[in-house]
Amino acid sequence: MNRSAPPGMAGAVDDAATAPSETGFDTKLYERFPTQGDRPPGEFEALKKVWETPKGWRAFSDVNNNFIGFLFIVTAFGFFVAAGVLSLVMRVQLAAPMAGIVPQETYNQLFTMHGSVMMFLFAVPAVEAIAVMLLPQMIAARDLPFPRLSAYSYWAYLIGGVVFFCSIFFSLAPSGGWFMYPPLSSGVYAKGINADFWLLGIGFIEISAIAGAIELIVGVMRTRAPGMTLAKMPVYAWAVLIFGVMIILAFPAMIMVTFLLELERAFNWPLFDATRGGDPLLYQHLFWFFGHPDVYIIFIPASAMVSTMIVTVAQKPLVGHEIVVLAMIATGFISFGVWAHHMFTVGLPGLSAGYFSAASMAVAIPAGAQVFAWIATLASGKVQRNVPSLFLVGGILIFVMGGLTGVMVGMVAFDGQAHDTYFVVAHFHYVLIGSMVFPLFACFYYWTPMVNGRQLSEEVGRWVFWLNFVGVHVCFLPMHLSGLMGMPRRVDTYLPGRAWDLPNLISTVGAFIMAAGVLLFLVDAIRCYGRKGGGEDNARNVYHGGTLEWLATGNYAVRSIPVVNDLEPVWADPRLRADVEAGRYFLPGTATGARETLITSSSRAEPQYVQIMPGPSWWPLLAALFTAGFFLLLTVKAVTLSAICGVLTVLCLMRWVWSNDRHLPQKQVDAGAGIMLPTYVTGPQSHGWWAAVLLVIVLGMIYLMALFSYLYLFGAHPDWWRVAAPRGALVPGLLLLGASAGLAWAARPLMARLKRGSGLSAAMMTLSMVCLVAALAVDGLDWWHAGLRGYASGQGATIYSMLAWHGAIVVAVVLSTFYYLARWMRGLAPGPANKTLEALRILFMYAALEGAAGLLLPRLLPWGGV
Amino acid sequence: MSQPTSSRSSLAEALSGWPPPVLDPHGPFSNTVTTLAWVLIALVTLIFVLVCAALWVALYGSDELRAKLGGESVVKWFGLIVPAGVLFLLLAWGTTMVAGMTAIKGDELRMRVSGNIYWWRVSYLDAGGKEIHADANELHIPVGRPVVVDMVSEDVIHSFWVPKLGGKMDMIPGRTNRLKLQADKAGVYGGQCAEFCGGAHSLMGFVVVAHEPADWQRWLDTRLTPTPAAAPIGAEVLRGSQLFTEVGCAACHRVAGTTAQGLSGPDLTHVGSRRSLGAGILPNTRGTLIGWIGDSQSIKPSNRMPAYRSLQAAELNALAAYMESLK
Amino acid sequence: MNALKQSSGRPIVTAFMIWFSHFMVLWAAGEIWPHQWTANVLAWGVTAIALLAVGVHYGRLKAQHADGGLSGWSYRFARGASAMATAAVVFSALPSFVFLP
Repeated sequence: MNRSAPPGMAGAVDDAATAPSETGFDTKLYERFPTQGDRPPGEFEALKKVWETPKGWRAFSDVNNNFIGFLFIVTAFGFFVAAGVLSLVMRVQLAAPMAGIVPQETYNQLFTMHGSVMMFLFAVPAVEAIAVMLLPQMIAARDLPFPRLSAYSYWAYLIGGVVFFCSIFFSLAPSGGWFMYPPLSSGVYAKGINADFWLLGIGFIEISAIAGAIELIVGVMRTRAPGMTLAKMPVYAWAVLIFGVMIILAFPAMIMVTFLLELERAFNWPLFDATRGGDPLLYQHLFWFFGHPDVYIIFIPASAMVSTMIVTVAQKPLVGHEIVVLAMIATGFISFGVWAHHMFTVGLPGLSAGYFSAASMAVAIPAGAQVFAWIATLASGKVQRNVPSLFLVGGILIFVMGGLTGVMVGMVAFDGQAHDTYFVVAHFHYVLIGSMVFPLFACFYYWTPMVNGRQLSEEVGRWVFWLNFVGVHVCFLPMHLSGLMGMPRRVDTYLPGRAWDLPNLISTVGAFIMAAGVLLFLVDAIRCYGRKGGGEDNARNVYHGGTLEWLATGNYAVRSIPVVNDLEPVWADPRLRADVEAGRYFLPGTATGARETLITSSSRAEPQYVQIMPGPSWWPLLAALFTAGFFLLLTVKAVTLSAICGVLTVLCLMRWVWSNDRHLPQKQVDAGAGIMLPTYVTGPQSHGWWAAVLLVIVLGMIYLMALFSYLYLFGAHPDWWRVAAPRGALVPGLLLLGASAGLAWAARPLMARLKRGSGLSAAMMTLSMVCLVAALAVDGLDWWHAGLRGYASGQGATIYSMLAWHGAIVVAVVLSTFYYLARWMRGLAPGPANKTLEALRILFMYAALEGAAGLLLPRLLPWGGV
Repeated sequence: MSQPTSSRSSLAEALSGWPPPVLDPHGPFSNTVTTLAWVLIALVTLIFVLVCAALWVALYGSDELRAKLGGESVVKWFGLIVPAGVLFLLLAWGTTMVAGMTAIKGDELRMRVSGNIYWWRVSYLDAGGKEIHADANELHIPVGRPVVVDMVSEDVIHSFWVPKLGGKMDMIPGRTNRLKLQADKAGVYGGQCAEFCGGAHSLMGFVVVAHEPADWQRWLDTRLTPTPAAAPIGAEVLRGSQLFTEVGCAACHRVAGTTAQGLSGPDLTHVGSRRSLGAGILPNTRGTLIGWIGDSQSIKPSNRMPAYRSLQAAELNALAAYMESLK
Repeated sequence: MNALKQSSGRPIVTAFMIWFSHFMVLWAAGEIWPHQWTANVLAWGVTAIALLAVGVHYGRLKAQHADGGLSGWSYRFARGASAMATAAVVFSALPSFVFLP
């Protein structure tokens, strides 16, 4: 029986012929697919069994992206509802002047929590959660590359988020606004632990967001289906890559700024205290350098969801696909240049403000391009009339309104009036609801059949849409007016006789209309998801989508990983589903008896090796529990208990990572059609190496923010630089750090070349660690003996902050050394290469570089003494 | 001393929200911004209507219209090139229009407002920056002359905003910002703190009174002329002045020419002639004076003045009478 | 065609990094020398350099593509990125012509 080659396979072969292979893979091998004949009996059952979620309470140890992703989305939506309820209380209070429904302090806690929960516990986690669940399916990967890391991220977020939210029930919630500007949030004006809840609670949730981003980047770049080159990668996968990189670059600023504010509160170091050489504006610059990209981190993946769903709803490919991808990249870049448009009224020089205004105008252009791509795509097809399309079109309208008011407030002079008023509140609710919340609802209706084989009710969905759509306008449209009428933000009440009563009352009514819509949705969702059984295992492609997630038939995503070369592979090849389900492509079973997926090259998606993936494990959950315990006990100043949790966290993390680096008896396995691929890969090709490099980039960005803080305070308040830089530590410090870096670097080549290399490299890593610790001690003592103190001045505060952060990294290096020695002693760190050494070596070399930066900068600037 | 012809209920005029103050300018700077605002509103409405029309066509239009709309060139032209051009022109026009608008030449009148939790310390400065007169929660400016106000803070970040006269300027501890204000009509203009400063941020307002130039000069001269410490008139006022020291008001408040020299609260030397009490939130009457002195915490929770609930009605009346006498 | 074609995202990143560097230098100059001609003149110089850099980058792209060394997709992307980066640089430079000390 001779069949014509499927378009995916044929396209991949043709494509490969026009370009050099990235990896040396012979792309003619693709022609072996789809394989003919039946698969061996039991193969499929073995695959299903190894990917099964454990039953009963043991299910909580599962780490598969479908399980974790689902919990993640539900939790994020739960926080949305919770923060929404807070806003209903706020709106009741504001419905009438001097209403007195809640006391002043309670209201201030309510709006702080509403903003913080929506931004930190809903918006970013929701888009990450959707990526966790959807991305692997869309690129035909079996799971994310580090499943236990996503499990850890989720449990840490759940525990931390719930405890943080509960603070409002004990009146311990922070009340400084979701940006928590000092001096209001400093120890002087924010007494008590409320602000610390925010700093420590949100701070560690950000760590989990960064972990998710590292994983998603590696996932997009290295686990795509063979043949899915960058040019043929879905728009959504591009968005995940872009927002992942944005998180890597932007979230570090948040980590550093919360670290600095916590140091100020805990130790009275004047980072933001102008009376001793600190500066409140430093906080604002750092916060917004994170904060503005943050909203685009939310927007970009949501816009890609819109692009994906619009394609299906119009049953036509995306018009201007390349423009859309380019627009997302441009938005990602330019969004890093607009942050001070949140600071137009702080007294920036006109020229500086002008730069941010210009960039704010520029960033609107790619957003507009996406909107027109959507309109053109809708026009090019026959739009299906269903609930997802309602939410998509409604969302576009709301987003455009918000984007246009954004252009208005991007003009400095107009912002002078609109800043910090309800006009801006209207603006950002319109953009966030239009670009993220409505697409989120569309996504629920659209992808529920993929998740549980059932559908949410189309009838109820129409009510959900109209209630929300009408409610949004009734609530937020009058806010433009109340802002122009002079009503500032964050006011718990207002005086009568200002004519603000009517717009506020209307807004309150609108809020409750929205609430009704959300409630209706909840009822329907519980009905749909709560039913036991009845759903098929098949992702019911009720909307006739064209991308690979619709081929998923279980936790393992696709039965076999196809060779694809189209943006809508399911449309391009009507036989694809049958072939995939019959196991006619890569990895139709489990080659090693464990969970597996295919690692492919970053640009041309050529198969490189089979990644053995972890199954259910309790360690991520436990590690998350103890991490949460560490931070939250520190918040309530239970230092001993916190330290115990810290130790337990480290132990759980080590136990978890212990099983990461496993040498299997099978060095190579049959990945399908007789193509043999390795199971253990070291070196820059390994996905673990990539994760280590990304982690080091994150750490570098965090430290860069610390260096910036030093430069900023020195530039703004040089009169507080009163301790001449001691030079004693320069030479010994640099020598020690050079040795540390050199030893770590050399450990890998020496292990590869020498027979006793394994022991030697362990010794070198240990010595490298010792040098690093010594360098830190030398640097810190140098300043201490020179008389510098953290509490004394901006100079002291920034220098000791840099030392403190570097110290935390050094602690990680020390613990890593003990870990590596333990492995070596057990014979688990063999030559010629092992992944653990490679990952740790990257960390150690980075730590030495970081130490050098911290050693040099304060001693070089100011140069000629103070 | 002269006051604008508006009545004592000018606080109501100051607080009025209709017509919307941002679109009801009473000075050259706010006027320019209002023009910008209207152009922006018009442009934005036009673009929104166009997008709605495009969406309508995409969903409901005829096949040929939809075919025209469904091409990549639409995305390139309407999504990239035209917006880039429009935004560039908008940026160029908008920034040129306001560049230099609030540039400080050095010959303007000078004042300083210092943000406090939750009130405003006002200082009138000479050309060299030295304080010549102190007040609180109310600014008096002449019509038609620009005033440069130094913005400072003594605690957290506040923001000074009089929408009818111009945009806002943050008051950041450790930093002196400057705002140029000018009114073109006599009147009373309300303002409010526009940067969350905790607690009673929502009730931190103030009043700007613009006088005709001659009236303003007379007002200033009267304020600057050191009047001999006039003996309090009337038994009630006398009793009030004694209570002022006995009860402890003098620890925080200053009344020029007396022993009361406290600086941590608003200067009360001329409180009797102020348009408002409690920082722009209450009209200035006997009743509100008594209410404020007796229990300001119920009116403005977490403001820094304690409640004096133990004072008797007669004592409160005396203190209020004394306040009224301080014109 | 056996020509070696590059298919990576690096040309795109280069284009936008030119814009980002341009932006950062302009902003830093505005912060370090507020209300002084140094900031404006520096801005004009750096703008010229940035536009030149994008131009050179684009020229190299065209040459590489004509040689057959750049895949169609990669070339179109890089071209689009260069255009967007140029627009962004022009936008960013405008304030330095308007806000003079």
